[in-house]
Parts: sequence; structure tokens; C-alpha cells
Amino acid sequence: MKRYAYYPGCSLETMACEYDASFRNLCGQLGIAVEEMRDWFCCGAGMLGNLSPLLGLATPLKNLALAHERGFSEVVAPCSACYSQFKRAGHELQEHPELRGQLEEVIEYPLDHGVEVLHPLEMLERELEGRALKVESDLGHLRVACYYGCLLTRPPKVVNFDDCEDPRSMERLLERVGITTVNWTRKTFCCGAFYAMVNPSKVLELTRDILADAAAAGANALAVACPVCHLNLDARQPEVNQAYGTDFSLPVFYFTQLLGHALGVPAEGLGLWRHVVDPQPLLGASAAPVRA
Amino acid sequence: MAQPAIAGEGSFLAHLRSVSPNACFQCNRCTAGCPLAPAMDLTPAQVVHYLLLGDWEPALRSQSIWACVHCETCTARCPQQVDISGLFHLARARAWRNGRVAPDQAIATYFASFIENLYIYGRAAELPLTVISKMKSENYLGDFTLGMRLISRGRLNFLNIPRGAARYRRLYERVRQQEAQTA
Repeated sequence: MKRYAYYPGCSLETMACEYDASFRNLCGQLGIAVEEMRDWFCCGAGMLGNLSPLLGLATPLKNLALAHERGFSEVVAPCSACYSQFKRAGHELQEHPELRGQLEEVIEYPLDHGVEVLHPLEMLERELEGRALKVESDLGHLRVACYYGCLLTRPPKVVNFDDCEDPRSMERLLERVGITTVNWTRKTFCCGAFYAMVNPSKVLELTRDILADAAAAGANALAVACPVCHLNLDARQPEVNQAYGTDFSLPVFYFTQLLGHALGVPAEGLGLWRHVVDPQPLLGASAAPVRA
Repeated sequence: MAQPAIAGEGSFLAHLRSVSPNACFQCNRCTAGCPLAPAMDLTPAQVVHYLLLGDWEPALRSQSIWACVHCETCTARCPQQVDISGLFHLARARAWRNGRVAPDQAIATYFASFIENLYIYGRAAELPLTVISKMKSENYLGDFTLGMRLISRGRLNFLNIPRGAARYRRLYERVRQQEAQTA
């Protein structure tokens, strides 16, 4: 049976621990073998390049080497930033083969291993192709705006993920478990990410635009695939309402929580109680926010 | 605590130099799609134009290079295949390396905190990272309620055990050695 190396990344250990739990439990429910990589360390989150371009590339590449060393040929990375760092390092290496010797020397591992990096959306689409899914919870009343953010789809020549202006892989997966998705325009608009630290009001404005657009398209929830998107859209939603006098109450789910809930993962395995915007009124008693 | 190593603009930067502004014909599509352009003093197209003219000064002095969050919208949409986000990255790295960062530049403070934190923990330890970053920027109360919200939901770890730090440090030291040789 195929085993995937799981690279959670730093955020999934802390502020996005419900993404981690729901992803693991979803895979368990579906019988997909994912195994957390031992000894992984931070991918650098794009910040190390400021200090040293060599370190910026070597850090993700060393993590991929660790996966290969332990016998894996596929790495699954649920955080968009980690995913993008891995993809970028691979892309730079391909574009600049002259860097290879220097990189191999610092990471102490050959770089011809061909380890493939996948986002859970890609991995699940691949694993579930042609497979009948047993839906345990009816989520037919949900109208979900799928939000992809930035780094999952851009730049296309680096990540080569879906369509960069109109990705549809999250919609396809959610629709397979009976969830209705909406067509909307801001699915790949940036939420402002870490600019919140410099200018929170600018990020509230961008976040407001995204929430307003989802609501205008008739959505009663959002689905995301990135911890930073989730932080801005969910945990800052009260600030948006305060700043703009709006009354958004749009639950923001990781897509793994919705799939898990529909496919019968118990509520305590999804971490829904950790959300700031309470999803229970929308999901009903079956998703009682059990602390686990 | 690890001090950020200032590597010389050695041979490794050569590949970054291949990120070129030269094909830009100023259609401004990058600026039109940039979510942070309203927060910038120079628009992305203006920054690219200065770099095309070989004049780095205005870019290095600008707020724009620190406002960019690398959402990659510009790079994805440029009809001339200019990697605008890559150019911003390069300008920022150059400003950093040449000590051209204003002390009140919050993002730079955060980057520095992140890099120091990584050397200690090997993984981003969000709570100490937030504390270090707030102390450095002397902004103690920003996002206080947000932090409380996360803590009450068990989403910030109080216990940060350095895991992966040994491997990261070994890599970091090897990179430093390698850069010392090629600088």
C-alpha cells in the first residue's frame, strides 16, 4: 500500500491544529496511509531568502531529502506556504541546474531523488478518483465559497496547480460529498496575509471584500486550504464587523473538516470548537463543538 | 542567539540577478491587480521601471518593497513574463544585506525574529516568536485580543520543545561555511 510522507509544517502544530487533526482523521477514515515525517523542520516560509538565497533554497530541499531518506516518494504539505516553498525550490533547481552541486553539498544528499510534493487537494483527488464515497452526514444545506488564496495556485509555472485564475479542485471534492458550492470572483484574491502585522486595517479591508463577495454570491460558509487565510477570515471576522459595521457570521472551514464531517469522522476529530465563528448553528447538533 | 549572517553578494546571487525587469512595457497590469498597491508609495510598475533603468535607490528607499506580501498575482499575470514578485524579493534582500532597513520597519523586525526563532527551535514557535517580535517592535498590545482568542481555543502552544533544531542548525552552519568560501 502506498504511504505518503506527511509534512505538517509549523502552523499545523499550533494555530491550525484543527487542520492537522481533520486531515489525519479524514485520511484515516478513507484508509489513506499518511505518516508524519520524523525530524522535519521549518520550510523557511519564504523569509530565509532575505538572509541568504542559498539557505532559502536549501531548507525546503533538506526536508525533501529527509523524506526520501526514509523511503518516501511523495510528500503531502497542507499549508500553502510550505507547499509553495517546496515547489519553488524544485522549480529553481530545474531552471538553474548550476546550483545543484552547491546545494547537494550543503544538504549532504543527492538531489536526483524525484520526490513529488502534493497538496492534500491534489492527493485526495488522485486517491478518490473513481472511488464510491459513503456520505454519512447530509450537508446539502451548505452553500460553500471555496477560497484558494495566493500561494496554492501562483505563480502557475512554479506550482502548476489547477487553473490559477479559476481553480476548481476544492469544489469538485466538496460536491462529491453533496455540498453545494457557489461561483464567486474572489477565490484567488489575496487576504493580505502577514501584512496584518504592519497595517491591520488594510488586511481587514481585503478580508471584508472577500467575505462580502462570498455572501453576495449566496454562500453561507467558506472553505479554505491555508492557515493564514483561515486566521484572517475566521479569527479576524469580529474585527471586520467592528471596523465596517457589518454582521458577517460566516463559518470558515478547512476543506478537510467539511469532507471529514460528511464522510463520518466524529466531531471531536475535526476540532470545530477551535473556530472563532461558531459553525454549530450551520452544521446542527451532529457537529456539537466537543473539546477533544 | 544567532545573529543573521550577512552573506556577501556572492556567486549564488547570480541566479537571482537573472530575474530581469527588461521585458516590461509598462502595461500596469501588475499594479491593477496588486491587493497592496494602495498601501505602496511606488506602484509595482514604477518599481519595475526604476530597476529597468538600473536605478535601485528609489526601490530600496520605498515602502513598497516591505508592503509586498508575495501573493504572486503580478508575476502570474504579467504578459511579458517579468517576475515582479521576484524583483521585490531581490530588492528587499539587497536592502537587508546592505543595512538599509529602517528600525521601525515592522515586517523586517518580524523576519529577523522569525529567523532567530528558527535557530533556537527548528520550527516556528509562534508564542515566543510573537513575544520576541512584539518586544523588538515595541508594539506590545497589537493583536492582543486576537491572541487571547487563539489561546482560549488551544491554538497557541505554551510548551515549545525544540524539535528539528539540530538538523536546521547543521544546515545553517554549512551554508555559512559555504558562503564564507565563495564570498
